Amino acid sequence: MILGMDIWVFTAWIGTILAAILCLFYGFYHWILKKTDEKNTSKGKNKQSRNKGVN
Amino acid sequence: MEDVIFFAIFMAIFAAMFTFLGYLGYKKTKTAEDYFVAGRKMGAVVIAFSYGATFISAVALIGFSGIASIYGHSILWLAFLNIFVGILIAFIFYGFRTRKMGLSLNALTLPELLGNRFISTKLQSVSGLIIAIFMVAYTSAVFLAIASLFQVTFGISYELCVVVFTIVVGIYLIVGGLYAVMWTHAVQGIIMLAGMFILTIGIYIMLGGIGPAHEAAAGLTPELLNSIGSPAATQAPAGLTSMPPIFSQPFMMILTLIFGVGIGVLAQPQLITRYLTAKNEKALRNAIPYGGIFILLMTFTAFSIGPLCNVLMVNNGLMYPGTPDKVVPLIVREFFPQWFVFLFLFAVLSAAMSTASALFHTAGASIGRDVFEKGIMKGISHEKSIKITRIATIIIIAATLFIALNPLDVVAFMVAFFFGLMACTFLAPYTLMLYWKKTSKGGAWAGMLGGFIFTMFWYILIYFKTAPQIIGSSMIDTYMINMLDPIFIGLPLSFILTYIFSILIKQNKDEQKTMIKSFENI
Repeated sequence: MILGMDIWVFTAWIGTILAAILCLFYGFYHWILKKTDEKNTSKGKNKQSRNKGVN
Repeated sequence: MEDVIFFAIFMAIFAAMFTFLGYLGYKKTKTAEDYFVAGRKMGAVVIAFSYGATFISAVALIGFSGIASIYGHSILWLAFLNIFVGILIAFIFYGFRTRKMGLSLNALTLPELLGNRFISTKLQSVSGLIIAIFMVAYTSAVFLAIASLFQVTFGISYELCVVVFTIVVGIYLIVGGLYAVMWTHAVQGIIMLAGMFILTIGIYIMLGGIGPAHEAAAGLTPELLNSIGSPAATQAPAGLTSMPPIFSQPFMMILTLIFGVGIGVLAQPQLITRYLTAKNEKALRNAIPYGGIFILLMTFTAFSIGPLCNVLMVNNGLMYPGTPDKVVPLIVREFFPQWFVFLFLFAVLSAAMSTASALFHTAGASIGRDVFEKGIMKGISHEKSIKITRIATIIIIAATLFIALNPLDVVAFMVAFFFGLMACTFLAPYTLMLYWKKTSKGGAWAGMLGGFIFTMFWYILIYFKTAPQIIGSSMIDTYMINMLDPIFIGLPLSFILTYIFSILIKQNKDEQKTMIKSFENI
């Protein structure tokens, strides 16, 4: 018994919590991915504009 | 009497707030797209709350926690599927594609998506008719549950409850369209969250925390459960916190519930509409974390506290209250302060209202747009389209009210009926339409009708809950067969039929053109 539950019920219990955490991670992952993309894009743009300035 | 006055005041405030949101929705509703899919302008939070509030009805909160008090914590597998399948798989594998295909094909409902993809207004009309007919019965069952609860708690007459409830939901829905429905869902979702969160925390605190509470439930012997008249004495043979022996009757019951509802969620027309309302893919993507947490705080909490109610009843010498639906209301009334009794009632009311408004909207759209506008009165203007759908919605609401006021025995089984029927009828053509480019009109018809006819026969002739109500007894005595949800056979059958008939009756040139168009943005 884990936390008063047998192994199958405990698997369902912890699985439900993990599934909800997976939903959160999915959201965070795309949020971070988007932030990184935005950073890279703005860095790229800055580089381009600097190069233009030199030329 | 004081309670009733207090309740009436809060109900009036509740109704006024929703009517105001209905008015705001009315101001924003200019086109058919506005009325049917909220202008495809909804953001992540509103989508998540609306999806969750539509998904979780009063039956799920009160009924399923009552069922958990009988079968124990093994029903938590359903909570797992509710999040894993109902949110993650639903949004990632169905939501994104449905939204994109809906945009490419200019579809505003699930039947329209099927109809436009396979260039068949008949397919659209028949799908719309199936959805509308069974949705009316399902909504009546939701009404039945909520009106009974208020009758038991406040002694208000059942008829008055049903009429007031219908008028409030009907006004904001007909006036404000899906904008009003989704905004009210956000408000209702917050009340539901607060109610379930406080209830769960309260029960676990009363029982000394997670471990001690579960251990106390595990320690309840059949004799102790029998002493309060709890059906768990026989239905949870291995204890309230253990899985029942494999292939025993309780095991089959749990298996049927878990898969019937857990997988059936993927093909619910009222939920599919939520994908079509998203303003962009990012909104759908961001709805996933909110949706996951919302469902966690709804079904996980409801299914966790159900078995623990037995512990509270045993410890305090309370008798099991006849039917499982009355278990949680009894615990709330006996162990929580008066202010929470009201909050909980409004949480249950919110759950019922949110599901009912979504069902009314989808059923109204099915009759108004899919049957009348596309099937009978082809080529009418957008203004007329909304008008027809509003009239259809009034007719749907009136029909639901009539059934709820004159309930037939079979109506109560419609909740079990509905999820399985929708899954066996629509899930195969809908899934293959999104993922398999060779799916043809012939395949879609075969899968849809094959799944529908099989499920109806199963429910009428074999299924242990419905067959005895309809024909007197099940035609198959073996419980391992008659307790199976039709989804176990009907769904694979529907997939096989869609596949085989798509191979046999290939797409014509027009279908191929539409197929290419529908996959353009995917």
